[in-house]
Amino acid sequence: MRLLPAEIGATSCRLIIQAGADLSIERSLRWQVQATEPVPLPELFRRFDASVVADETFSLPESTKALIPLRFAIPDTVYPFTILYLWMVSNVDQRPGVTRSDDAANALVWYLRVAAPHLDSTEVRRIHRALDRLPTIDVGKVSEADEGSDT
Amino acid sequence: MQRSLTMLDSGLVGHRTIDRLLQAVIFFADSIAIRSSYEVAAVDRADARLIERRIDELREQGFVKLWAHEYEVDDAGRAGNPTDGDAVRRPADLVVPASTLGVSLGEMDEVMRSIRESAYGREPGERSPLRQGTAEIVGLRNHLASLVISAELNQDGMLTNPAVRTALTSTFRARPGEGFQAAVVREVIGQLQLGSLVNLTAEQVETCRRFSADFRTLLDQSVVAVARGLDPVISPENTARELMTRYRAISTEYALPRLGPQVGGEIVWDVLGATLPPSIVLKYGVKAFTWRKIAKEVRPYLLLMHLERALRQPEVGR
Repeated sequence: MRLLPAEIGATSCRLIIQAGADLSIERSLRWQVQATEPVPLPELFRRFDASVVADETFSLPESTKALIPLRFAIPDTVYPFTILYLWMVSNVDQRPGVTRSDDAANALVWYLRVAAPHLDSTEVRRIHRALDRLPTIDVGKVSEADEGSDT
Repeated sequence: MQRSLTMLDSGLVGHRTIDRLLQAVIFFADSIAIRSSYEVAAVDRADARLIERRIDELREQGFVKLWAHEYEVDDAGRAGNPTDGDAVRRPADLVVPASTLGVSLGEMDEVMRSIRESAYGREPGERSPLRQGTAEIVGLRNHLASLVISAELNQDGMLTNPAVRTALTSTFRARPGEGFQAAVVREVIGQLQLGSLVNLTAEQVETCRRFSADFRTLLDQSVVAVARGLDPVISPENTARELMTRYRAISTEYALPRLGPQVGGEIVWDVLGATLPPSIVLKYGVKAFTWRKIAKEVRPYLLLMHLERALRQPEVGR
């Protein structure tokens, strides 16, 4: 039997969208959802990182919703949620023995708790479990591939 | 749902601070926490007593709360400002407990430990993911610490974050440190050319608050639209422009023409405010119920109508 992804209620969705909008403004992140071809998470991260460094508008594929194992009562919440996650992955350091995406998941959950303290705690746990199920982003390999393609 | 926000850059309070406080409590928040130990900004020192009185008034109305760190508060629950020799001590409505703040800052340090310190450690020639080097790391650390303090005050979020103000130059027209909703509201006020809200009396602020909930719903909906991206196309200023276009269309279409010349100014407010007193229902019968239907569509914009009325014709609003 296949379990349905956990649901995040409308109130929490609004708080997540607000957190994503505020972070985008505060850190000058420009992004837009576009109907482009599906992209796996590591590649999405690589493009996000490149856009931030180049100070360009990041194109987030509409199909991203298939990557995040959560059901949002306001479906578009998946996009600012993904931006928050990618920003965390982009900012956490690669430590020996710990994948960057593990740290990013912890950092994102912590960030949501302080940026939106009244986020429902049960839903925060659901978010954490969903993040733990995401594929590992091996940033080192993504960066190497990126450098290879540049030469 | 009550919404309380923290204004962390409130160590210095002036007319501009009061304007921002009023923008928040009229449009999208119920109360704002400012520093109990605030000083009046040098530029407004001539109006110090006026500013103190206004803050007291807003506090009495429940729109402002004063916050302090535990170590600043005396046994009487008052906090002073060390720079003025504790001459002025004000009550602290919200106190950040030292022990829990220590724990939360410890958690933040754990997160920060995993935040990239590339600005310090990258090899020469290697591309840095940071746009402003060490300043960005410092700004990020301050940004997170501000969030921690706001969360410790059990607030719903921050109105302004002083850490961001110095951390980055923004590509948006939103002022650095300003949240999305605050930026939209500032744009709306700018497009309406309302000027500073400082001129509103306490009573006018109370009256505006009667219309706040409906506008807040509208603003919350506009935030949902931002879920599909935030860039120069979907931005606070464009969101404000969209709200204003709808407001102008509605005020042209409905405000007075549809209600007819027989409806006087004060009655329009009763009708649009959907209070619909029995006297109006008796006098205008079926028409009164049509107005109620119109009012439903107009209601989110009543706040803007009221503000225009109060600030452009002060003698009417007072």
